[in-house]
Amino acid sequence: MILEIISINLSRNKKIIFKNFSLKAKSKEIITLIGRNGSGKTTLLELVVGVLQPESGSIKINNINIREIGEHKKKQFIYLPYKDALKEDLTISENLLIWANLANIVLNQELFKKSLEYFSLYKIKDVVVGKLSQGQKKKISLTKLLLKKCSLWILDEPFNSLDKESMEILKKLFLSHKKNDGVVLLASHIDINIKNKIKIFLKPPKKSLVKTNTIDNWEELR
Amino acid sequence: MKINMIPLIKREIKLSISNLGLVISYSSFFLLSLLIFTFGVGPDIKQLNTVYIPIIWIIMLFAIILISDNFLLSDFQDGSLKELQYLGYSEESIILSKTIVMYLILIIPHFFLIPVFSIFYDISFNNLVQLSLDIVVGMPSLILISLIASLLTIQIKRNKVLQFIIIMPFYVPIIIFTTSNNESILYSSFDLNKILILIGFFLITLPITLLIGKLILNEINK
Repeated sequence: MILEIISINLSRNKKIIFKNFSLKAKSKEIITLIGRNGSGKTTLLELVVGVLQPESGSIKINNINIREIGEHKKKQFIYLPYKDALKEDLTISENLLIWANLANIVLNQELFKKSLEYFSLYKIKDVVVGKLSQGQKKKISLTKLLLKKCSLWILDEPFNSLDKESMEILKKLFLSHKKNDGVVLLASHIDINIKNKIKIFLKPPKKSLVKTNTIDNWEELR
Repeated sequence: MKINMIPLIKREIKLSISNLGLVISYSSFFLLSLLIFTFGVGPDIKQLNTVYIPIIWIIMLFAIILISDNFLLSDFQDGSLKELQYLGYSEESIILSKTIVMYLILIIPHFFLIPVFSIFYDISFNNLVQLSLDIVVGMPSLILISLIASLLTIQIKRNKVLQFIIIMPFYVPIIIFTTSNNESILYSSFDLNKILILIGFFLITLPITLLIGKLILNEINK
């Protein structure tokens, strides 16, 4: 089991966001969290990567509790949040090299070139990020998927700002990762058509506590 | 948690070098404020010579507060702060690396600014050495507190006024000791006690600010 969320509970501002929520992800699975704004998609991803802590329950990645992974988080998964964490004053290459250094990735020139070419960024690698469009910025972020080898990909709204062609390229990338025993956990407010994915619908929390993202109200489709 | 701060420090240095405007605005703020004070107090060099220490420290305090936002706020806004956390870096190491780089970046202009002070305020060589040492030893505490102030600004929804009200009292003891015009200074002899007190302040400030910083960072994520 690559990812295991076991009966987590979380409440915010007196609203229950997750109540006994569980989820298991095996290799060769693409799981999409679908839901309206405020339904807890990003919160769930932040719980998985350990930025947030559940009030109870546990989250395991490769059978290690996320709280105990510590610095080795870098090797267990890759998380691309909604905000791209790019520095506008730096070039595409500089941004990616800084990220690679932080993630302890040793890059070789060939892999770096190929990864940039995948999303047609190689020719503009020396352009300052501040001058790029939102779609191009998203592609820089997505290039990180190719630079780091790990089985679990966690992505928040990866299709945002992408044109149709780039969306197809990204879908193909997900499918090839799945083929190589990988897992993709993604949150999106749009239902993207990907073959054999698992959909989980998250409902926004109600005003006063009771019915929320319990294990009973997510729907699974294959 | 194993802490490897080298990639963090490298990142901060790279970002600071790419944004040299920070050092320029710090230096120009410093220089302009000194000029204004000089004109305000008047041309009497004896009078200027008696008030230069508080003037320099207060200008430095405001200059650091002005700059510290750039080290944290931009990271928060573009999502980098969270990225560092899910990459496995502890909150303490993030704050510490920012403090180290901010110190290194801001101490450099002082090598050029201190000789300018001496001309403006007719500072003797011994007093200049004492002042330089005070700045080298006292600056880290001011930086640590100002970084916490920046974190507070993020937490309390960018309310600069509240930041000043909450954080200003923490600067007071450092300012009192750095600006104290001891007899030994007036008689131009080296004041080791003052240096030791400032080192003591740093040793107290360091763990407290790291702890507060960690708590605020965790609170920001909620």
